[in-house]
Amino acid sequence: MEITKTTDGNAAMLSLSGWLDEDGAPLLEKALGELGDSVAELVLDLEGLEYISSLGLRQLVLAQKKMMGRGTLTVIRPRQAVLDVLKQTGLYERLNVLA
Amino acid sequence: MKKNRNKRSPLFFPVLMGYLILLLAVLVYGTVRFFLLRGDGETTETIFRLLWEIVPALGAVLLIGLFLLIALSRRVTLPLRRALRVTGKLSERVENGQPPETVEAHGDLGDLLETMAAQEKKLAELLKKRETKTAEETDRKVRSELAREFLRGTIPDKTAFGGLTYGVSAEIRRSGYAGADLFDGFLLDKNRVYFAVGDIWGTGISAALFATRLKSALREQILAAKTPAAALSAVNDILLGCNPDTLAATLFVGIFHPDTGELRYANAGHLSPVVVGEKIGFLRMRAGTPLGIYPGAVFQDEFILLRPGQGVFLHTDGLVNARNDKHEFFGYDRLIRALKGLYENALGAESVTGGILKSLGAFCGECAQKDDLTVFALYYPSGVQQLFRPDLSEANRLRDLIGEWMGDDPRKNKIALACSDIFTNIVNHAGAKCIRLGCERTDDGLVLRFTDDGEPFDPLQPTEDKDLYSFNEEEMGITIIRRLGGGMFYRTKQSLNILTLRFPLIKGL
Repeated sequence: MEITKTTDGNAAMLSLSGWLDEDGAPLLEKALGELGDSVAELVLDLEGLEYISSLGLRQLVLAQKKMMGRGTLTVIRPRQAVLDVLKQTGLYERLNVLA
Repeated sequence: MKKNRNKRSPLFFPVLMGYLILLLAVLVYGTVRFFLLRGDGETTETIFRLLWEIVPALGAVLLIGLFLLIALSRRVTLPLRRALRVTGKLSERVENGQPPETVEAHGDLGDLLETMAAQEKKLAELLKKRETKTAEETDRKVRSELAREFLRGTIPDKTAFGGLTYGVSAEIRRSGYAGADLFDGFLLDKNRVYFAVGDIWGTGISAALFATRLKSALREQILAAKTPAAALSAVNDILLGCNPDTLAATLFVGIFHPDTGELRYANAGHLSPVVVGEKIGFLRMRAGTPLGIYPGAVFQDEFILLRPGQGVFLHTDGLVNARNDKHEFFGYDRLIRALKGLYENALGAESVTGGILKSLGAFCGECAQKDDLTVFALYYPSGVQQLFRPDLSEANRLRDLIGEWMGDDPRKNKIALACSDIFTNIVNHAGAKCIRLGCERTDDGLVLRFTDDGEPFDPLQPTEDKDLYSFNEEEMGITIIRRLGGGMFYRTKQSLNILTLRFPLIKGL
C-alpha cells in the first residue's frame, strides 16, 4: 500500500492506494502517528484503495479516535467495494464518509 | 574453529623450480662452453676461464632474482597472506558480531583486499538482518502459538449443541498471522440453541484475549436470558470499560428455536449470513455497530422463520477474502455457487461446511492465507428434505431420490424399495395430505425420516408372524429394513407421524 501525505496549514490529507490489509495497516498506523498535534482536519482519501480488511477498518477507527476532541476526520471517495464493507460493518454510519 | 595455516610461502616452489632450472642451464652452458674453449689447451686453465665467465653472470642473475623475489613477495605474498587471514577470521568475527576488520591496502592486490573487506561488511550486515528477521519470525510464531492457545479454549465442542431435528456445523481455520475469529454455541435449553460468529479487528495475543473476554461476557449475557440485541448492548458496554488497544469485533448472535424454525438474531457489524434453500440469498438485517469502540451503540433484534429444508450459513471475511496465487478473491459469487450445489447434493450441515472448505481449497491451492476463516451452517431440519404429494405416482421420484442421496451404498436399491413400500402404505392408509422424507448423514450412520400428517399409527407394533406374501406394503418395507440391520423409531409430535430409519454407515463409503 502507498500513502501520500499532503498538508495545508492545520489540514492534512492521507491518500491511500493499494490494499489496506495486514501489511498496509501498520503503514497507516505509522502515518497517523507521525501526524503533528496541530492537525485539526484530517482527510483520508480512499480513491486508490482497492481492498480493506478488518485490520484496515480498525485503523479508520483509530484515526477517528485520534481526531476526537481536536478536529474532524473525513473519509472521501471510497470505491464501491470499500464502501460496501463500510456499510456492512456499520462504520459508514459512524464515520463522516463522502462517497 | 580449526585453524589450518600453511607456514610455507606460496612462492617457495616456483622459486625452487626457477633455481633448479637456472642450475641446470648453467651446467649445460658450462659443459658446452668447456668443450668449445678447451681445444688443445689445458683443462685447468679452461675451467678457470669458464668460472670467470659463469660466476659473475650467475651472481648477477641471482641478485636480480632475489630483488624480483622480494618485490613479488611484497606485492603478492603479503597481500595474499593478509587476505587469507581476513577470510579465515570472517566467520569467527561474524559469529561473534564483531565489526568488520579494517584492512590496509598494499600493492596491486590492495583493491582485492578492499573489495573483500567490503564484502565482509555486506555479509555481516546481511547475516545481521537475517538474524533479526529470524528473531522476529520466531517471536511472531511464539506470539501466534500463545494466541492459538488462548483461542483454542474459545471453541466449543460442536457435538454439544447438535440436535435431532436440526443440524449445526462449524469449522475454524487459523492463519499463521494469529488473526482472531470467534465462534461459540451451546444449547440454552431443550428448545433453544445459541450461536455466535465474529471477527476480532486485531491480531496476536491482545486480540486472542479480547476474543476470550468477549466470549465470556456474551455467554454471561445470553445465559441471563437476554435477547441477542440486549446481550450485544451489554457486551459492548463491558468491552468499552477496558479496551486500551482500541480493539473491536464484529459479531452475529443467533438463538434458534428448533420446534418452530424461528431464528432470532442481532448483528454487530458482521457480514450478512446466507439463507440456503430452494432460493439462496442474504439474510435481511441491520448492520449494527462493531463492538468495543462506540459507547451507547444500539442493536436490533430481528427474526426469520426457517422453513423445513432451509439453512443459514455464516462466515467471516477470511472466507470471501481468501486469495489464490493470481491474487483473486474467493468472493461471494463462488460462495453462492458452491452453496447452491451443496444444498442440492449434500446431506446436512457438516456436508455444507466441509463442501465449502473443499471448494475453497480447490480455489486457493497451496496459497497461504493471512486471515482466520470461520464457516458455520445451521440446517432445519438437518440433512435434506423433500415434500411428496400423497400420490402413488410419487413413489418413483422417492426411489430415485434415495438412490441419489445414498450414492455408492450397495444397500440403496433395497432401502429405496423398502421406503417406497412405506410411502405406499402411508398414501393408501394414513390419509395424509402431506408427506416429507428427510435424509441426513450423521457421524455413525444414515438417517431417513418420514413425516406425515395422517392418522396416528405405529407401524412398529408387534404383528403376527407372516410370510413375505402376506405382508402389507409397509410391513414388507419394515422387514427389509430389519434384514438390512437398520433401526426404526416411531413417535408422534404436534399431530405428525414421524418414522425414523437409521442405518449404520458402511466403512469406505
